[in-house]
Amino acid sequence: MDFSWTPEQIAFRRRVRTAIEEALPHDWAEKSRYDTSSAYVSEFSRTFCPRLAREGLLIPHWPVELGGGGLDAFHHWILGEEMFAVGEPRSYQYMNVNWVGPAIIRFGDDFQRQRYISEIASGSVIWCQGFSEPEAGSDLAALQTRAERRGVDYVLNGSKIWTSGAALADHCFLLARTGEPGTRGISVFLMPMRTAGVDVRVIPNFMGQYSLHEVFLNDVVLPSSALLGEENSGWEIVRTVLHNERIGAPRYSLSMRVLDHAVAVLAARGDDRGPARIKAARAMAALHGARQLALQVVDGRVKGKAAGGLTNIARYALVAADREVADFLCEFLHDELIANLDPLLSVGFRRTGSTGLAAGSAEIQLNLIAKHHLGLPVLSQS
Amino acid sequence: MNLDLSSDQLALQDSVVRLAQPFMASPSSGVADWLDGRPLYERLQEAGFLDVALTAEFGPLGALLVLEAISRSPYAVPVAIDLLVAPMAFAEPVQGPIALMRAGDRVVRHLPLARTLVVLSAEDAVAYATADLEVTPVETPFGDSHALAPRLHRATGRKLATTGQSVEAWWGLAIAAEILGAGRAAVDLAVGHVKLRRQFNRPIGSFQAIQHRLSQCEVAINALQALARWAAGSQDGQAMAMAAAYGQSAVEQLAFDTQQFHGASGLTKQSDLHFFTYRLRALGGQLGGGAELALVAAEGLWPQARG
Repeated sequence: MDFSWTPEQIAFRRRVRTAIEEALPHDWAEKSRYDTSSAYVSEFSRTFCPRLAREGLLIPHWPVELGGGGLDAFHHWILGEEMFAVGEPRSYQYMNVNWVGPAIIRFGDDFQRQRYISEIASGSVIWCQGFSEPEAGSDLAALQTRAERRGVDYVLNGSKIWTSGAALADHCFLLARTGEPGTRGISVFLMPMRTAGVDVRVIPNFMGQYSLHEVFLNDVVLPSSALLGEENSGWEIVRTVLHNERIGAPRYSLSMRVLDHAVAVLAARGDDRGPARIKAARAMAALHGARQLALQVVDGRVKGKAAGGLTNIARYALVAADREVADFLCEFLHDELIANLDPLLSVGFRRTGSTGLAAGSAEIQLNLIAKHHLGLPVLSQS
Repeated sequence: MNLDLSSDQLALQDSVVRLAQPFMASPSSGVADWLDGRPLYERLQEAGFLDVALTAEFGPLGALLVLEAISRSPYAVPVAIDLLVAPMAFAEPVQGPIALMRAGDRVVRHLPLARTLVVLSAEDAVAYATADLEVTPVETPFGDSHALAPRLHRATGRKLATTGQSVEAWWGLAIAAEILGAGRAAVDLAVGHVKLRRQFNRPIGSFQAIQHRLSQCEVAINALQALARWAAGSQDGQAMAMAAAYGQSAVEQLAFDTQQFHGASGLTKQSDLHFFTYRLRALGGQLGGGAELALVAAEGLWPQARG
């Protein structure tokens, strides 16, 4: 076991940090409110990501032949930690480089690769993820949005919900049913959001400006070239490309920063007494535990190991840690939160309050740990 | 960064597990509140495991791995201080088994089994040969042998030179490792029990109410292990303090849930569970307990200006 970063990894982190510092405006906190989903941050990403691309920091973990830097998963993770800690200035483009691009590279045909990859690699497009539906949340395989063959085209009808960034996005990585019920009748479509019949409605929420949407599909016509991979292979595609993503974003990096800031705010006004410090330290210890587990998952990726049950454990550890952070903030920085006086504290509370739902509900993680890690018997439940 | 155990570390782990195998279950379900683990201590000593922390090859992470494994035994093995605290924090050899207390503690864990008692105060650490002390064991269900804090005559003690790192920091990490081992054993027993125990025509382990809480215990164990190994491997003071604080704050969940899912049998001496649940509770109060250790961690993270 070796817990130290290599000099090269340390230098890479410094490079990323410097690139962020140089690119973010001095009034980033006030303008962005650290809201990944805001109109401001998504617009900012359209200049920030091309800049990262020019500096070799947008897709450093992609293969060299696709314009990437050929660096390993630790570099990818370092990049994510540094970005998340400042409110993710890549906005939803982080999904492009994490898994949308890799999915198209792996399962797309020549036309799709040419159409989408250079666009993603230049940092100029935003994708959203059309997965959940009103009747298919945790039970994603129950999705009902249909795509029916009509001549050379597909006609899509149905609706998606909780879609992040839909109002900002250029394209949607969409799941629709093309076959039998269950996992074997699902396909992936690459859908331009500005297609006739696509209707987007923002859902007012507590997470961020454009964090949650409904997307309605009424007789949306897509050419067969919008189908990614084989028909009815969507579940397999999603499993494969999201396999390594289940751990999600390194959310703890923002939470750690928020905790440091919160204790400093308390100290500045002489309120950093024992009870607050005890709760803050416990939350920080839990965050570090979650981070160490996440790093173990990344270490496995670097070594090409199957992700296994550790991913679920690492994810739930993060949920539990963020819950402690949210609780600490509410108890000891109550006034700042209510009056929304401090963007970092406010975003800390919003973010940590949603960790149990983002990237899938925490209870599903517990089911999976019980089944795969503890070997507990499963009776008529997923 | 390489977060897999090396082949040497795996071999170390494997050899300690094999050595400790005869001590991994109680001899028979009986009435004992604690089981004398000195025979295992002696085997560890003979095989050289107590010196692992000072070897260039393994260092304190090796000692932590040994302690993690030994702490899964129901036996009271007075080895934690010998493995992690003495080599890392005392500048001179101390005869083991070692019991450690803070001045002012009223009860001392492992004192009836120890050859040396080390007493920590704000100023120093003083070692006493237990043969020279009047040791009064207490009758207690808390998993290990305990004695009342003995009357001490400073003149009979030997002041220990300690290294720069604080004794408390390593003691905290040792506590974290023992909680990890005892917690692992308790969760394994509970998982085994809920797979077998049937009610309503199904194993009770198929109920989500139980699955989710045991999964949460599993998460806590994994997070504690990751923290403790990081702390031992990096020898980082903040990491050690956080591992200790995290471990003690996990005690309540681990002890309560594993006992709860054993039903009434968790309140009996019929299974080995009580050794672990009671030991967990005892460990949770050491060094001042979870809140105090969290304050120590806070001081490392966010130092307060004094005065």
